[in-house]
Amino acid sequence: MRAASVQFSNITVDLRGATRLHGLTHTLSGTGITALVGSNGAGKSLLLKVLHGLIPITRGQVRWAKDLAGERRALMRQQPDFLRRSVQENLVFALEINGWKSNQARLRSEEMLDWMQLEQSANLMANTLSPGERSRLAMARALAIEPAVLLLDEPTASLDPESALAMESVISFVQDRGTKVILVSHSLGQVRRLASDVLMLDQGQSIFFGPTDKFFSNPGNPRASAFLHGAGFSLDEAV
Amino acid sequence: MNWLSHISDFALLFFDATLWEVTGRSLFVSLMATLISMNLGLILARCLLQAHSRWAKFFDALLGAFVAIPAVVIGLLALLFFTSSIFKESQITLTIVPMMLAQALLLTPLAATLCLGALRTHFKLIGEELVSLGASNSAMFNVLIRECWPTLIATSILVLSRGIAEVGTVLIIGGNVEGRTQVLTTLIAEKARIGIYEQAIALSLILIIIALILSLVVRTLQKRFET
Repeated sequence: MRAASVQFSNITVDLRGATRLHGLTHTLSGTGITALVGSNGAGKSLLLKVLHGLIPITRGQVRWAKDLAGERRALMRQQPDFLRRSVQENLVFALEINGWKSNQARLRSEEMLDWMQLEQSANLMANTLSPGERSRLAMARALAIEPAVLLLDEPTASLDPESALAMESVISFVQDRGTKVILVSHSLGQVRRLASDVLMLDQGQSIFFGPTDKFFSNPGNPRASAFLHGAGFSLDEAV
Repeated sequence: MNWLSHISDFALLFFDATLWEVTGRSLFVSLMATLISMNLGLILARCLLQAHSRWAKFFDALLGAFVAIPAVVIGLLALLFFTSSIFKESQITLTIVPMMLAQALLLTPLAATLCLGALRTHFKLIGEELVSLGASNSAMFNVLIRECWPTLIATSILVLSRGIAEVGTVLIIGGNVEGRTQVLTTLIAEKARIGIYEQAIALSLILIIIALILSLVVRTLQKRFET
């Protein structure tokens, strides 16, 4: 068991002349699934990119716990892009640039294709896949490198309900094996099913951070309550 | 009758060995200049691809400005350079080597600008994904090159077209010496200057045919890239 995973201290991010994240200070646990929720433009995806090191922090710092600091982190973007190569070659590429040898990378890619039920599409060009298959390939690519931290940006946004549930079971399985998952989701039902804690952002500010049960029962913040009770999402979905 | 005589002049010209020698030299000089300028262009593009400093932006703008620099100015600079004391003993002037280098100097800003444009377009598409996958700068550059190779081939053909059609640099630095530095454009200029228009037109036709073939190759590659 990991004690603590990541500490943000006063993270502030300015982009294009505007402050997008305002002094976020939290400590996320080293296990389980942390869900980032909030309306569009709240800063969820931005925070994910900041955690992955894609966007520099203007002020403050992110400190990963010792056991995660040197470990691999993988980000699955909301709209993943692929190289103009086959499905399998995309996986092999991701593995090779992370230090896997060519023959090992090929074997690992085959395993991942089997797991994500993409073995029939292995030789197709990645950019010809359907949105659902693209999501599965992006997940396969993120998981292939065996990350210690998995950052997921709306991984089920383009999936039908059945595929979304299948993806959720993959996320649960990965989490059970000890991978820390940080998940951005607009589906409150999904958050309730998967997440152990919730961080809610509103216009770049943190308005709730705590256990999932508390978020759904009594978030203790009028804006979070309004969000839960229908500010863009129906209560039915949350339940 | 007059037209028939023109046509026969054209036909005879195509059997002239000198013509093919000059055409071959033109292609060789411009191909080598393209090769050098594309390599330099890619190196410059790599340096500027992720550079965001003021100097990088200034250099970027400067490259764009150098694309429009007149060929005769580059020719003059190259002439001053190759006739300087450094090359006094080398007898390099009036050979095709300085012609190639001067033409490469002329073509490099164009090559760099076009390569940078192609790489930036692909970087916008997949750059963030590559960074998030953990690609190093060199791995990313290699992937970008591989991703946009049809555009880079089309770029090099455009650069070659510009090279083969220019006259200022090769005339100043090469001097249009028969059998040594004479190329198609300088030969056309000479024929036109002394009033042998039929031959000048026939040589121009060859240049146009080369340009058309190159343009056809670019279009084919672009179509292939789109599909």
